[in-house]
Amino acid sequence: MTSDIAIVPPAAIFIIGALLIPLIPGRLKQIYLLLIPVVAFLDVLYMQEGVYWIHQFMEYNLIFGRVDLLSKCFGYVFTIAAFCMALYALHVKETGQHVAAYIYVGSALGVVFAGDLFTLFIFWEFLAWSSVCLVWYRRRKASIDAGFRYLMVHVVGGVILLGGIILYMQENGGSIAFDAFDYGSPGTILILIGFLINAAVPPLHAWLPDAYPEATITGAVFMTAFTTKTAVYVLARGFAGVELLMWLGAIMALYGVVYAVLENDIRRLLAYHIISQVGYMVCGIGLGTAMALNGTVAHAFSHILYKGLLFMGMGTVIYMTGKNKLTELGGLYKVMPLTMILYMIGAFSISGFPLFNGFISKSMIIHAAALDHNAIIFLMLECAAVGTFLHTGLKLPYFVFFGKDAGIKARDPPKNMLLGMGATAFACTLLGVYPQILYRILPFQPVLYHPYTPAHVVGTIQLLLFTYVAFLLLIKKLAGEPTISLDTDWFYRKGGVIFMWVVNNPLARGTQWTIDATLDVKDFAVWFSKNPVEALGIVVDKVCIRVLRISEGATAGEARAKKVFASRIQAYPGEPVRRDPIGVSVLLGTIFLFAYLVIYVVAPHLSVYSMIGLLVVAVAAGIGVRAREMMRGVKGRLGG
Amino acid sequence: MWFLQRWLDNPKTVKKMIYLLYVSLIISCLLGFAVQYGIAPPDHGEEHDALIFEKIPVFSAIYGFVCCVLIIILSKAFGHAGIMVEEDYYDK
Repeated sequence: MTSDIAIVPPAAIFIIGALLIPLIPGRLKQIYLLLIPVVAFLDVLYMQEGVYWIHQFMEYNLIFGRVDLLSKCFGYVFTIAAFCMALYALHVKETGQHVAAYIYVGSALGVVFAGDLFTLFIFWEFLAWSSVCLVWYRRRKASIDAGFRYLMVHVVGGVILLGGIILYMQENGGSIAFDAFDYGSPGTILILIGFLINAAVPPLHAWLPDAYPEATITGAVFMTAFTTKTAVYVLARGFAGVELLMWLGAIMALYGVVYAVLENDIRRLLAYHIISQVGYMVCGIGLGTAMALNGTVAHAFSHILYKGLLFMGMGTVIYMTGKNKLTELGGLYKVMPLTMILYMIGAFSISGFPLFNGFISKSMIIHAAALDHNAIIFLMLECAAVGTFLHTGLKLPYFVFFGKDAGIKARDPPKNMLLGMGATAFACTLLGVYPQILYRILPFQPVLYHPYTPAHVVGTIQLLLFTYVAFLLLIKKLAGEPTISLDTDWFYRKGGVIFMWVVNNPLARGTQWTIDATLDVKDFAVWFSKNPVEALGIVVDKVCIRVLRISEGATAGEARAKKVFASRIQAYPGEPVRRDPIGVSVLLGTIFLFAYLVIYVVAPHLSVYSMIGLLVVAVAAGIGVRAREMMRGVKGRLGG
Repeated sequence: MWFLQRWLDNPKTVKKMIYLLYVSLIISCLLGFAVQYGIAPPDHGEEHDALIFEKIPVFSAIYGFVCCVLIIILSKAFGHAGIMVEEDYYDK
């Protein structure tokens, strides 16, 4: 095949395709929606390795098509998943949802094929903004709020990433190449944090279980696949072998399991298992060996399919019953048998049952840990595998499809939803039975791993069976409780409330006081400048009245003084310009100069304190004289 | 899908399933020994010194059971230590 076929970046197929959706009428739209992923898949299939679609922007080369085994592998699964998910979402009438979903898929493909950091960043932002629409389209208050929180986290993550990119450029002489980073410099650390936010690594993960369960039924299915898996892709390319990631990943795998025990919302439970599953991938990236990285990519491939299927299954339950809590559901296998069967295929896949795709991918990462002689990681990941089967394979189906019959009237969903689930379930099983299909496209060839060895199969069966026994023994403890669980989003949800209180009370009051004080100063200045001399006299008079009140009490003299003061304020500003004869001015000037002379001669012989003392005496004497005048009812002279 | 319902609602079926479970538990453990000491030596496709517990025939069984119990008990204890709150917690 020649590369001329691949003249269009897959991202463009989805994004431009998405913008044209509103123009397609009626049933044609459904065909069109399914056609886009097919075309994109063929595009990815026939792309040759190399670097394409380079665009000069200012002094930088933006690369929209870096094609190698790693990016192609993600390209395949993204387009396949998009097809299955589009099929599942085909009944949605609202065009906007389809547009948002396809722009979202397109930007994920954009990130995957981006060859430089700028292109990556642009699509990274697209990813956040298009996916938040999938949350908002649910149109509930909880969804709108969760969407804003989701956006807030991702915008912060984007800014951190951009900051990292800029620092990285400075560190590397303006290079914006996106290859394996030399981890350690401030720039690369910021880039890593930006990536980790999208990979939902605790404690930066809370946006995921917060927003996904609030998204639309079909939107959530799309969201499970793309944001975290593009993050896995960029981590695998940029930070393979960073030991920190190995530990973060293993902790993450268990973290999701612990919270899944507590969860009552069926989609939020699954969302916590996304964190757990992405933990395997992050751990594999941290291990960094060829086996581990192959395992990571294989697991991302499998995960997108089975997690999509699980979200489809539980989404269908919510869609058909209107209920989303374990405590409200039960006995649905009688009314939704097909949904139950298809969901169980997803559950078997994620749990790693032999013949399903989780078995052939998850085990690669665990095997890589064993090859590395890393017993702790091996045990942590095996433990998370137990938790995965416990929740998605046992607890969730038991309390939703079996268990106590909640007597809900429902039926299996529309055909397209079943077909979407069926296609995904088929892919999960196909890869489980013929793992070579997947192994052939992994980035590190040849793949020296055979999942179906007797030891592995028997070990897995033992693990799963005994987990089942423990589940049966403790089933009472596992029943859903009508609660929600606090997670790290507490800090910005409750922190936000405290922040708003600080803004509304101390800060707002402080601001108001500053404004009031400034306005007072302004008013005074305006008043004062109308007739400064008279104004000064009034100020002096006011001081005098204070002095009188303190010294004399309520006497007839004070009453007269007050009258003088009142009349003076009333007359203000009066005639601002004094019309004094020249002689008076000359006299005043002479007095002033004489006083100056006296001070000039005397001052050097006095200390600062005595000068201040003299000044105080003079002022006190002046005020005393004026006060006596006011008591006698003499009007102010200064204003004339 | 009425047959599924009739089949699962039958107490006899449930009993049969429980026996099936017991039998499969035993068989899986026996197979573990068989794999370790006889018919098919462990082979992960690549020669490596296995981790010590990969050599114990019923390790997966014990580990699965213990982990599952621990996950349930510890997580619930963690949840009831203040992590699980009323559903309208954030609306207050």
